[in-house]
Amino acid sequence: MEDKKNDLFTIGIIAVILLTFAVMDLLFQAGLIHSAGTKTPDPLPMFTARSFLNGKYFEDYDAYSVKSFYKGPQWSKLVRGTEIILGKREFQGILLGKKNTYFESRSGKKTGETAIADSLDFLEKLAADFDAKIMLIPTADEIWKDRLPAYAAYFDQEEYLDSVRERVGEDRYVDLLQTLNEHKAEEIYYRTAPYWTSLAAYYGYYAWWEKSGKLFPYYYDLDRKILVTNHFAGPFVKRTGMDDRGEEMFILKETEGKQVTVCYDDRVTIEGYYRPEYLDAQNPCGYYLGDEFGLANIRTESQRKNVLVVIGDLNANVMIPLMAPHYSTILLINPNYYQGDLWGFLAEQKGEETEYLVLQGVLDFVELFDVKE
Amino acid sequence: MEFGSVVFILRFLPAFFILYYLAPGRTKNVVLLLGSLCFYAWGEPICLLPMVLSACSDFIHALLIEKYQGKGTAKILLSSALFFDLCLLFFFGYADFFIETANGLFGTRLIQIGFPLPVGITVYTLQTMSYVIDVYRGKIPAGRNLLEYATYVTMFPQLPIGPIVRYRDLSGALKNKKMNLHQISSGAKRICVGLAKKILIADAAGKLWSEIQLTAPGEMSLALAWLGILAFAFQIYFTFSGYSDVAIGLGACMGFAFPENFDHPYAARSVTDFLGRWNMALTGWMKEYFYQAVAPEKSGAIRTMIAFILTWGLIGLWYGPDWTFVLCGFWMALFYLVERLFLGKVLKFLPSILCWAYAMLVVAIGWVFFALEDVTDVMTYLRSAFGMGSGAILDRRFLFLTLEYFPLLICASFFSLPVVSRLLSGLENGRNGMSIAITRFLEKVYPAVCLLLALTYLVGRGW
Repeated sequence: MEDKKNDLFTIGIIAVILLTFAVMDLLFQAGLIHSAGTKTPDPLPMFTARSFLNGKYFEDYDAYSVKSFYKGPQWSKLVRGTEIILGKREFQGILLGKKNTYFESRSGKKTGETAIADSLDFLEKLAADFDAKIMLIPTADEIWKDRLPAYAAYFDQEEYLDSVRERVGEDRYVDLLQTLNEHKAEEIYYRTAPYWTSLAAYYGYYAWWEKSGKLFPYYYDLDRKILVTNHFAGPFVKRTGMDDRGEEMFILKETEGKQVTVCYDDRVTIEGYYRPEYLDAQNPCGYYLGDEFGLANIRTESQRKNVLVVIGDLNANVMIPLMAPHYSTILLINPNYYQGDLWGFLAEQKGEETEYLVLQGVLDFVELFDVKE
Repeated sequence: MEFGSVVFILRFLPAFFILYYLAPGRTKNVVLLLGSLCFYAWGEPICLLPMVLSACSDFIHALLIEKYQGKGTAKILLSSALFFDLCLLFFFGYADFFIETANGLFGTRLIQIGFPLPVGITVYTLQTMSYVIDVYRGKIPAGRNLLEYATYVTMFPQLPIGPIVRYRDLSGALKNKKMNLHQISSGAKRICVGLAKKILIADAAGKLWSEIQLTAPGEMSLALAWLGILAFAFQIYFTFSGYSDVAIGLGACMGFAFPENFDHPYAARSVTDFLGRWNMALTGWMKEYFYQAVAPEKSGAIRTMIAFILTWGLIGLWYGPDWTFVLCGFWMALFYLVERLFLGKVLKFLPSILCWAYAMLVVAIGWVFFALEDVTDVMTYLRSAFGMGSGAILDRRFLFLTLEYFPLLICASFFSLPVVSRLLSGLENGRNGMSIAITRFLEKVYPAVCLLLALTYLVGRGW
């Protein structure tokens, strides 16, 4: 009798759990219940004779059935939370470091010696042929090494930057490693995005000014900074699906309200440096001058007839509003998207009033030369 | 369809069991057959073709063999049945593998068929072959009910990876299912445990193994290479044994008794012991239908040895069309033979821990063959694992991944050894009211906990 009761209990409890999940799934799929975050289930995968026969439909449907489960994001948070408690620190190629700081994981990534050598050759040529200033920005995992999870892999940027300094010469090299290390206790990088903040760009601006030979710096007042949002959730949060309250994003007062036009890839022209529509996008860092363009032609209020040609990534977007008062035109080339002949373009801009600058994150820059097989 | 998917667990399984239990008497076979066809068609509908062809061919062949029992015609019919089965297996499962080998060896440019290996083809082919052989040997009468036979061939629980079951073991249950509450309860528990093994442990171990593979074999540190072997060993064991648990559990819930397939192989103290605990149904099949046919009793030593090596090469090939699987089979066979010749006697005098360490070392090296597709990679990996690669002894990557997966490594070690069953039986034998109560409580609760965790992880990891 006792055994029979035990068996019934086991069958009952298993059936209840299974059916609860099955009913939740069924009612949600049928649209009878809704969950926050996913108001309606994702669209069903496309059914075609071809996708049916080659099995693609079933593969897509399996993925769809997991993704469209009732309150999917909450289940995911539960799983993530448990894994974090159990000591896991890497999710979807993102490391969760100390002080809730996210880093791009370099696990298993090996920066090839060829890529390093090619990137150094590129910088040397740029410095020699165009007298370019080189301003490579150490990424957060270099400056905030102490926030990385224990034993996480990282690329030694100090050694690489020393090689850069040696190859391009002291006069053309702007040392951001030292500058940013001096301010490492401040919020100089976004916790949730692979870019520096307006504050770091401010320190970077003064480092650049000292090296650039400009007569006077344009003065910025940190006390007058403008809070853009206090819920900035960078791409790392979106990629990992972490429950992060977000962080502050601010800009400097002096960079706002300028009469500036930005023409993207000779197609679209927009006024101003900042793009609020990006704040809710996949990469909210596009707030600074937008994202995913090859060439931005920026016309400033300056009456001078000088040009700054910048090869840079989104980090450069953050700093350009600070440099703008010194130039009438800034040509920003993002090598991740630029499709044209780079050397030809740089040569075309050559002139007495043209300056050149490389302003990019170290890792992003070196990876440009990492040709995948 | 995969056992570890939402579609299977939350849609197919509840619907199937509701219909199965509602169906009266022999109509359960109809539900099971239709359910199995749906299960099999989900993912690769085209792959139903070889299964249907194989089932029909062997059903007819068996009837004819029985008719001509004892005559030469029966032998021809048996050969014809086996030839047809092997042709199907070769064409749908291994043709590309042999074409690629021929192209590599002879420099030919034969065009590959590009047909994906149908899930379960190696399982149901062996099942149908054993059926016609048993009819030929007079062990069972040929089935006259096509529905029962088709149900046996297509039965979904064991299709993914076994255990391989013989018709003679299931024919009784196919005709008349006797189900009781205890059997269903035990089956349900096995399903929960199996799903947890697959979803919680095997998949996580697979992820660890994938992460380790990001480092080239030649650049791995010694420690990382061994962590990789450990991850792969856990992945393969918990996948196979998890799927086998689900299959055995499903069978029990439907009134069938499937044979056990894994018996804590990582607790083995010799390679012979390991092979006797790993995929036991497959090993048993190969022994009965291949090894004993090639080297019957009283065969000479050389014939026995060749038969044995061939058997293990075929067992390796059963896992997939790759030479490294065959090499893994040969590797295990080599140590089995060495143990039979002399090492077995030596092992008897060694402490258990040393015997276990030796067995696991051999198995670990075997898994390197199994895990990698290229023999050069295997050799490079082994060089790293024995400190002869370009990597260091220990590196940050090893330390990072060990910390990341520490709970997994502990759980997997714990559950791959017979610790839980010993603890439970220890408690139950305590003859103490409290310990018995704890055992009962754990026995009642752990399947539900396993299921809940597996389901949570399953629906939560997709985001």
